Amino acid sequence: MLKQAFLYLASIFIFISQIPLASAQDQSTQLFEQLKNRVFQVKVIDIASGNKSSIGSGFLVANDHLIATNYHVVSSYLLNPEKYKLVLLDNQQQSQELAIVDFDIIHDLALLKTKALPYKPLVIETSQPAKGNRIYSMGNPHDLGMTIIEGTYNGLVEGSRYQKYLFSGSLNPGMSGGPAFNSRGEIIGINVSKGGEQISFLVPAFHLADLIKRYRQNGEIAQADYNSHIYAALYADQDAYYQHILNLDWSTTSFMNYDLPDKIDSSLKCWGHIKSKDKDLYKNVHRHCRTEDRVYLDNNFYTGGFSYDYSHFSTEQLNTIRFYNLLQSRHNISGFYNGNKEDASNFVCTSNYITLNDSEWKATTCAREYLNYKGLYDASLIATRVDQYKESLHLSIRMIGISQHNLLNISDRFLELVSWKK
Amino acid sequence: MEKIIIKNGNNFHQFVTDKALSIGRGFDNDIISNDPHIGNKQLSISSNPEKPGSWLITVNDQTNPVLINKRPVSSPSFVAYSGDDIVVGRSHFTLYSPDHAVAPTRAFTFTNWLHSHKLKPLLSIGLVALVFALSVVFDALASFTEINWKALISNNIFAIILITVWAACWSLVGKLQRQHHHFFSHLFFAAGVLGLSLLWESLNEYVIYFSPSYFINEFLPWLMAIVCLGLAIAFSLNLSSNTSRFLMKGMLTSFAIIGVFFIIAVFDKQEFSNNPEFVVTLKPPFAPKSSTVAAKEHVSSYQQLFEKLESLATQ
Repeated sequence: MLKQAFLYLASIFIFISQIPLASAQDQSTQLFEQLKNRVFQVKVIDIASGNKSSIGSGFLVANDHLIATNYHVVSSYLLNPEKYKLVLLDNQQQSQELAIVDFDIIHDLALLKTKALPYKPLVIETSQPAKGNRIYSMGNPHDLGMTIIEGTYNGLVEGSRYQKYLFSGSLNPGMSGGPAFNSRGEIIGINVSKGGEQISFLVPAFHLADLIKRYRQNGEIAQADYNSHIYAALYADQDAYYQHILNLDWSTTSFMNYDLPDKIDSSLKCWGHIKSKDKDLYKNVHRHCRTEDRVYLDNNFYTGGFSYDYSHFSTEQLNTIRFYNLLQSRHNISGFYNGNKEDASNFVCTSNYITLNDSEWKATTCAREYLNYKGLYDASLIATRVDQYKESLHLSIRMIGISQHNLLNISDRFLELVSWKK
Repeated sequence: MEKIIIKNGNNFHQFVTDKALSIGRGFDNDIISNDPHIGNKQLSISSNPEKPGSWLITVNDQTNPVLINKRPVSSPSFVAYSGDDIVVGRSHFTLYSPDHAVAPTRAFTFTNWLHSHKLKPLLSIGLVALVFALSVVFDALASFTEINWKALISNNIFAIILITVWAACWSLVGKLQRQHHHFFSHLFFAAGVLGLSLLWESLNEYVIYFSPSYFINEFLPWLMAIVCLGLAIAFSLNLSSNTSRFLMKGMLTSFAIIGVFFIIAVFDKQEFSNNPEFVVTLKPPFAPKSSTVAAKEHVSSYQQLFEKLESLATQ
């Protein structure tokens, strides 16, 4: 009798515990069925070989056959329209050609247009979901077929230069440009990138709404204007960011026996550590602050970073000659690993011995200009103190995609605030 | 009886005769040549009664031109004087009278101690050891981690092997050319040149430090390579051959060799680089105060940087 009662209770418990799981599974099944005809694979086809060069996802966002995707999905076509063509592949494996009508390079969005799609567009939800809400994402990962994944919405990414939603789910290559939606099937974001295991990012849907609004107002961008459109967006973005930085009140922080600019803005993340191994005959204390966002321009060309590093070196064991060899090994600018000869010029550098608050430094600034977006530069300023026997500070500032006057102003402001406590 | 000396290559032939002398490939000639570009009986040399101290040369075969002091001879006979150089085919003949003045005795370029058989090995090995020690110490000063003497010594042994091989090769040349190898002398000079290059390299860094010009930074190492290799070749030439103007010949050879490497380096240089290239040298003592500028001036110098980038874009 007791055994029967126990079995009865156990079966009820098992049944109850399965209800939310079954309901969640039902919901994603329902959503997939509801949306599968309105989410597509977007292919960039290499005209010469006739094969796909890259793939992504996209979805229907307006009645006039507008498809939304990421800029980075279609960038190779956008930058070389004579070499590629854009094709949409729907749920029935029917394909049709696409054209770009507008794009937002800063937020990695593009609007495409096709001839006819007999489906209802997806609804855009511009308000943020509540943190912890269950959300879903669709796309075609690795060209394996349309899939739906579940995850959790975790708010706007903190300390980010550009607004991005944190999606605790696992996006994979090929899903870029696909929709992320709430349980009602409303678009809350667009799949854009992955930051690690179960860490993915979405472009907030309000940026897509803004882009659609701009397209409605200004109409289609002509192919001949793509470059000037990109340049205007990049220039305005860097100008807004650095003007914002320059308008802030820069505080200083004590770093070893120096006063140096502290974390300037919430878009920067700062880290510090001491490097000292048994075999090292010197102590190196390091701190760096950097933005973790970048703007995708091309497959191997990114822009939009800002960072600064401090490295303090001190020694009791190295003689002056050896200590200065150590400083010399650090007085360099590591490679930018970004772009090729079609994207930017070679670097040009200027070096001077400078005085900063009664201390002497060797300062070097190197810059290169973007070839397609004249007036924007990648630049780095480094300075190493050269008037001490046993200690020195090396500081470095790196600005990616900055205008001339912002570069001058940031360098000026930065060097102004460096001081030494005697 | 008249005396005439004829130099052919490194051989001197002396004749005392009133008869005409003959040069050619035929075995009945006074000077027999195996040059296929000269005739069976190419030249006849006889005293010139009209101008004592000179000779009358008759050209018997017109197949190839005959040159006197690098100028072609147009007539079938011409007058030659002591010291004149006659070229026929691919052979050179220089005629001398016994009273022809010779160049003053050439003194040993280096002091006699190098020719002392007792001192030579000791000095050479001593200098090699000194240069080796210098090289190891320089490498130790260049490091800023714990010094691994074993690794430093094994790294620098290669340089010593290299100069020993250099000395051995030139000794072989000397043995063939002058019947004397002068191995220790070669070793001494090779070690000296290596020591000079080490000192120069260190000095270079200070020159670059005080004048942080990218041009100087690029140019000085090439100049150093030309001078050091030039000196090494010149010393070795001097010891292994009787060549005159060995310093100039050494420098020219070095210039040609390093020039080839320079051209390869220029062509090999990448057209585009993501790495900024600039003078990184930092050396104690401290920054040269005379050239120190205010931070604002450094920022102002960006203007030149932008102008350079602009000119790069227009190229």
